[in-house]
Amino acid sequence: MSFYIWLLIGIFSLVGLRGPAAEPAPPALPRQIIGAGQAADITIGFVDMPEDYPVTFIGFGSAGVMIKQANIIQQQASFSFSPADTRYAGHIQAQIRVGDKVWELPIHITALPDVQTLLPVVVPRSIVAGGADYSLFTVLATDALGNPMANDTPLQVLAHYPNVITPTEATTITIQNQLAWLRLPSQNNAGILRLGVQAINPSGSVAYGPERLVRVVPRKAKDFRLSTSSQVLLADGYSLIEILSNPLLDMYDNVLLDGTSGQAVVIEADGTRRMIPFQVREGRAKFSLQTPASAGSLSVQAFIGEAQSELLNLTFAPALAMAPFTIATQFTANDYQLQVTIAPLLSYLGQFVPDGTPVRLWVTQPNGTQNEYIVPAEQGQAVLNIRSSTLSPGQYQFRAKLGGREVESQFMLTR
Amino acid sequence: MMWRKIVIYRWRLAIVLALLLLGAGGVFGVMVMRQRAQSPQAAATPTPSITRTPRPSERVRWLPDQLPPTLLPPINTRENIAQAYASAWRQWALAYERGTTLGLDDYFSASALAQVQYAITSTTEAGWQVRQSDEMHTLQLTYASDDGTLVGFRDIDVQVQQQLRHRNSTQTQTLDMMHTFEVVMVIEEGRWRVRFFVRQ
Repeated sequence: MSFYIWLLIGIFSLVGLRGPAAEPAPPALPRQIIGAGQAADITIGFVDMPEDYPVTFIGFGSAGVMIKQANIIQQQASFSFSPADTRYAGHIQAQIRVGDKVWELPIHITALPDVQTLLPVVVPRSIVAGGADYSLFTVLATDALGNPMANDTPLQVLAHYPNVITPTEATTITIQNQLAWLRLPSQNNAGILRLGVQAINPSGSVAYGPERLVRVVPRKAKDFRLSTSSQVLLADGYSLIEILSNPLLDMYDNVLLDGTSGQAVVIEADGTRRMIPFQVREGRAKFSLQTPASAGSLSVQAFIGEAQSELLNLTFAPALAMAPFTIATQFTANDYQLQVTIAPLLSYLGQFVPDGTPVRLWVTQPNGTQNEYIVPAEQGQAVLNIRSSTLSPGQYQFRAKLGGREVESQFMLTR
Repeated sequence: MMWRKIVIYRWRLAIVLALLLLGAGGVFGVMVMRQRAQSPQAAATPTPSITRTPRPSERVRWLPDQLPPTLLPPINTRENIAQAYASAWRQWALAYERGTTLGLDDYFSASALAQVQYAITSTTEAGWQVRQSDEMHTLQLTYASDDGTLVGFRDIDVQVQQQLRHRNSTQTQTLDMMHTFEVVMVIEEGRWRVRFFVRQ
């Protein structure tokens, strides 16, 4: 489509021209408005100008500097603008130069009226339920040529909140300063908030944009309870018992997200505390606790943020060293090593304690020095070999402990 | 015989005159050189001077923000935005001077990139060599996303000069104007890029 403009400039002669520097503000020609991507011809009329006199169009706009030259033919100079020349919207401040005479020619290229592309950007992508937190939904809208849409172009934002059957009514926002935006508060339900944007164009067509998702996460957890699924608690020192909580909920009864971190505190009978970090799994606090090696009671309490569980008391029955065991010492065949054997190590059914069960052994040397060893059980006995060359003559005392049972023994080294 | 003597005499006279002229020229040249060497201008030894090239961001100043009331100003990103925006202008000027679009995609994206690429190719293909320079940029923030990765601002009344010279002629055109731009910049692939760039 050709856009033809006739501009008549007042009568002037080449003799009467003055340099532009003498004029602080060059006279302006009527402003030209051209649709983006449209071919246009701008013709400027002159009076009493010599034929073939050169005329220059020079301007600067969104797409940089633009320069065109033409000659006066039959008192007219015509400048053609291709669709590529007018593709980029914005204002071109141009000048028409004839000799040293200059006219200002403002040209405005308008973006196409129809929205073609919608690029929504949402931050943050995760907000907390309850309505106090917001996501910022920003839309960059362009026409078919990539120009940002003009101010006041309306767009419609659609939101579908989690656990709500129907989406909310469309909210209309308008482009201001090349973009449109909307703050979206969370509601009480946690889950996925789906967002869409569309533009109903003046031509009747509709432009759609991609979906954007916001995760609405639960607020702080409410206090909770702990329990264990194990009916029998044996102090065997190696079994793991599972501690789990009731479903963890926030103040709006949203189930806490899996992966939420927590901390459990185990308080032994003697007041010793140890920490077990855990993460929420399947909406519950779940963690494993290794049974103690000696019978007794302990308490467990878990914390998730500011929420805490009630104290869970656990009582463990004895399960290790149910029968008395002895400490036997003998030299190996070549007298190279002193072999200390702790046996039999039996569990509550009379079976061997599991291989690897640690047995603590304290050895007191004749000079009073005491060494502690942890000897793993194997096939119902724990064996410690001490190199003979490291032993000096005298009285040795041995003390072994497994579960709640302790046994002592003595050994005299004479050589 | 007489005729031959006259010819020899003339040749000798010409050689003597030429030698005299050469000698006089040499003396005159030496005098001029000495006079120049003794003049105060020549006597002044040039003092070395160091001029620091200003950082791109030093050519940017910020006006008070014009953000909507519910939006928060960006924290710790203003310097990066200024640096990237001023560098984008510098790269644009460099692209004009070299007549190639290489490097522009580090500072512009999407339609703004197509825009400046067109600016380079359209003038280069038409045979124009362009030199562009820009002066202090005065920016006013009009939009900032909460995470500080998308901003909109106005570049108000920036002075831009262009000098255009056609490669087939000695004709030169200059343009010196003030412009206001509406700009949107986003962080893409880890760096700020101009996404929208519209002259107002």
